[in-house]
Amino acid sequence: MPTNCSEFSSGVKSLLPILVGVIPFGLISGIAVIQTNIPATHGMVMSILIFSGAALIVALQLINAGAPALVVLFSALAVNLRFMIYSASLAPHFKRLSAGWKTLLAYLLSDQAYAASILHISESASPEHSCWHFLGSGLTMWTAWQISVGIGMFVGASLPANWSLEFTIPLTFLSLATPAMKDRPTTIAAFIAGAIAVLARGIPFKTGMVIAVLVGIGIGMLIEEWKR
Amino acid sequence: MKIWWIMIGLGLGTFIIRVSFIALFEKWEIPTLLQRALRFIPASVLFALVIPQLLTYNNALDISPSNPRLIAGMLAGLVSWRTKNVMLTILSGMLMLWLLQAFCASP
Repeated sequence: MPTNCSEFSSGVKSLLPILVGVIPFGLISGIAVIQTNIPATHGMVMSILIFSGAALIVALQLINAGAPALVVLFSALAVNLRFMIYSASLAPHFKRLSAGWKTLLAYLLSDQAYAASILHISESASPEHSCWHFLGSGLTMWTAWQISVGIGMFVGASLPANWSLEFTIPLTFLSLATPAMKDRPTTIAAFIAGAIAVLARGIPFKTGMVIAVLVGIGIGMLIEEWKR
Repeated sequence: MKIWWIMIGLGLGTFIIRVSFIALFEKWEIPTLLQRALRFIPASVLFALVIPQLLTYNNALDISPSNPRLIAGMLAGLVSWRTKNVMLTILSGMLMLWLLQAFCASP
């Protein structure tokens, strides 16, 4: 019979190998945050509030470009909508937990913790114990992420400006986008969104960005529909 | 001041997305239309941000080999597509940019 403690430590252990990819990305994200001219304290508070690297950089970059709050919220929250899928997939297993547990585990939800724990949780017979597995993997991810972002910001602030490090921002987005381009419809949707963003870049308040994303998604869905 | 409101909005919004099915609407399912749209969102948002940054140079559209960001970005895109490796993508893009800036210094 698994105990809370053994479940927690097995959760921690299941996340450890994933950290090989997490820590460098946290460092890069910290460096990218600094390139947006946002003070490090703001960046750190924001990182803790939203606990999501892609959304953090998307938001800061748009804030820096002078986009209005609604465009920033639309773009950054759209990137995070994927958490809804994880939320729906974990919901049946967390059903009997208290509101406090649900709140804590929801906050700790990340791509990595989900990947590390979902198999264990769905195979476990006792959700009261397996929630400790998710707590273990989620807390490990959270701690490693925040520390590496913090170090990245610290290092980023002392690197020379003529290294063009602000270019790490589009490069980070590229490396996050290509794995999401799994087939032809998703790839076409992404390129159309990019092309429209270029054509619409003169539209005030960065609303061209919103139009580009909505048209890209719409066309992707249409192509998928035709293929059936 | 504005930045703090955005931060609070983002923190709250992200938390609501995370907690959605776990605690808020447990008995619901994701609407089919949203479910189908979801997989297109990340790449579309990210490309809408990336492509203008690669195709513009000094705020003007520049689709030519003399635009170092375009060349470095295309290389990084290729590396990302072939390897799916975040570090390799960023390193190759930065190296290419530095090389182009060092040897093809444009005014």
